[in-house]
Amino acid sequence: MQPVPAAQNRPPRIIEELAQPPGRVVHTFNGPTCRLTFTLKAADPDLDDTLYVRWYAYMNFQENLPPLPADQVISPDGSEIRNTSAVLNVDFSASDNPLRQEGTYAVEGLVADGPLINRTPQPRIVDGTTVTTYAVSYVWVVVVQTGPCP
Amino acid sequence: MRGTSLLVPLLAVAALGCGKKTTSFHHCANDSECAANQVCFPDGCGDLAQGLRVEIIPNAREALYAQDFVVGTLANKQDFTLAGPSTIQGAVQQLIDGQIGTAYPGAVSIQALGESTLIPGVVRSFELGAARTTYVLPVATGTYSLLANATEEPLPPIQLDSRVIVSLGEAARADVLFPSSTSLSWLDGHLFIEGLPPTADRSMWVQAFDPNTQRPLSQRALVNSLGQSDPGRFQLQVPRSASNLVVQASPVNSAALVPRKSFPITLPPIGPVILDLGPFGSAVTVSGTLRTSSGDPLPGATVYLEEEVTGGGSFRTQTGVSSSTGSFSLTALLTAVGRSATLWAFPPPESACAILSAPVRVIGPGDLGAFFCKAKVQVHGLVHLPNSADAVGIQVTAQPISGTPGYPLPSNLVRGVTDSTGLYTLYLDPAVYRLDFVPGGTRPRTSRFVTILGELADSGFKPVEVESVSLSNGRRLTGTLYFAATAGTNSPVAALASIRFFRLSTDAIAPASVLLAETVSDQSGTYSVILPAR
Repeated sequence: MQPVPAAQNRPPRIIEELAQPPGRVVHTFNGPTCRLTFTLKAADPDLDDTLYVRWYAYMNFQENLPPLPADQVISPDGSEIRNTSAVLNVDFSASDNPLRQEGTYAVEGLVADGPLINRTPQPRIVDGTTVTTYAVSYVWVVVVQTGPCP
Repeated sequence: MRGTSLLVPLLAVAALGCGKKTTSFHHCANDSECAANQVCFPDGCGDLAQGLRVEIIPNAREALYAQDFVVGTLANKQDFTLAGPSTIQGAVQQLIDGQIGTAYPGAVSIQALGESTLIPGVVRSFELGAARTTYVLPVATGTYSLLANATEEPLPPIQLDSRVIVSLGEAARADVLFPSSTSLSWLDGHLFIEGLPPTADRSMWVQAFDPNTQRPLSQRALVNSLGQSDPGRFQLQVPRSASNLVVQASPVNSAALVPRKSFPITLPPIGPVILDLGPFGSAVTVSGTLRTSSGDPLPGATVYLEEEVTGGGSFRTQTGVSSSTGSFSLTALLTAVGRSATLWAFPPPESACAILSAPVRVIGPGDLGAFFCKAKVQVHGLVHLPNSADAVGIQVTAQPISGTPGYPLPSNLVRGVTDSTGLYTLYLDPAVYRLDFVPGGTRPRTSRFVTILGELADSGFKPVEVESVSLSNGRRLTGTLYFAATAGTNSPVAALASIRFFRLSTDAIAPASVLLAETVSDQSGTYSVILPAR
């Protein structure tokens, strides 16, 4: 008999229907009372996989762009669609608000089933075998205008 | 319930000798401090059902956005009946001669910015790209400000005076009425960069704002660049009633080495409107080094510089990142005489370095020197299970809520995990935080508010020991999400819907809502969550 093939890791996915804000284009003002919250629900058919979340905000993509300081780990909870959301809060009164200046940004949430180094999920070693891991992303276009929030 | 003053954090007592401080949460720490039927919430002891709010997002792809519910009494099974789409809709009109509204034929973008009515602090925004004469904007339930912008002509943007409250499945009416052309006036002028019109690679926007409210009074307009007719010219359409306004000039390309500048203008202007960014000069490259309080290099920090430049404009450099040796390089403009610039450095979350802001002056290319960051506040505490055993492997996150006097509000989320003794250690900038303890399994998440004051020590801040916290017992709540017969959906139940349970916070410093639990319904519309209980 042929040996049973090793189990393959399957990629996580982002439930686009539950992404918040729901539209791909988000308009906001940049006054100090303005706030934005980006939320993603992630699923992984491999129920024991830990998911790693990383967020980016940029006007012009750079290869070595540092992530926003909002890394998150979503532990397995027995559900394919994880109960815990990936969340990025942007408070425009914060000194390091990444969307402070007016302009058009991309805000990207990256969900991986392996620890991330920069944007690359690191492979896992299972029983001496290297298992490929995956990252998926969701991007909003955020248009920041000068002015106070209404 | 204990007090909530930011300036007088209770039980913040310096422990003699070791230089360590102990700090209490804003309110209770453990359920044992509450009455027999109450749970310790972030804003104090309370009943679970009191202040409980639920947000359900059935399916955003079908325009079934968030719907909010108040739960008065809580049984172990809690079903919800969902409505069909909620909308804001109305006519888009323009006044003729300031009298009669008639359908406005041009394209209009509509934005609804607001938050949940029932769950304050849950922000919501919706947008319609192009509507003509009428519009229908599907939204979540909530309270919104409505903004409208004519996209085919430079009419001033409209913000409706009154807020629009949208209830479950309701079509809220809000007509958009643009002013008549006769009630508008043109601000016609020229903008120059050091006496010359903008070039194509340094093209500029201008926009008029109300000097008191900072609200936009005009759309943003491009200034004619060199090579176009009448280079430097701009035109803004503003309400005739605006007698004072501020014109802001900013580069189209945020990476352009050109400052932003605000020009106060009185209408009608006396003579031609000529605006100039002034002699801000050429860009220079400056460098520096970031070091920890002990002198080690600080890599991975985000760095930028803000400054006032010659000519009265302001400039912010592009963001740089410090290298493995802590060095950084920025392209800046010369700082105005008698003014200083501020160098900002935001260390990565895993660093023990606090946010750094240092006054500098850019007087030419060169080295700005070495900058030493203070160490963050080392914050640690213990987490117990309800039976007082050590809570091992619990995720702890610190979410900044508001700043403390003298320190900027950080935005970074800081994470930690409890060790084999239930101890967690976080490195935090001074601020008010919500600490979330997420145990997973059959235990509910627990949150507490705490103020971390920065009490200076030799090389940074004194460490802070936060009082220990005990997790609550869990109570499983299940139910089914049904659609009302009038919802117009194909299915009687809401499958794969997001459900979030919140508690209204009465905390004076962190007045919003606190997430208690979240989950997603299954294919049959059934959900199950763990809420705190005694």
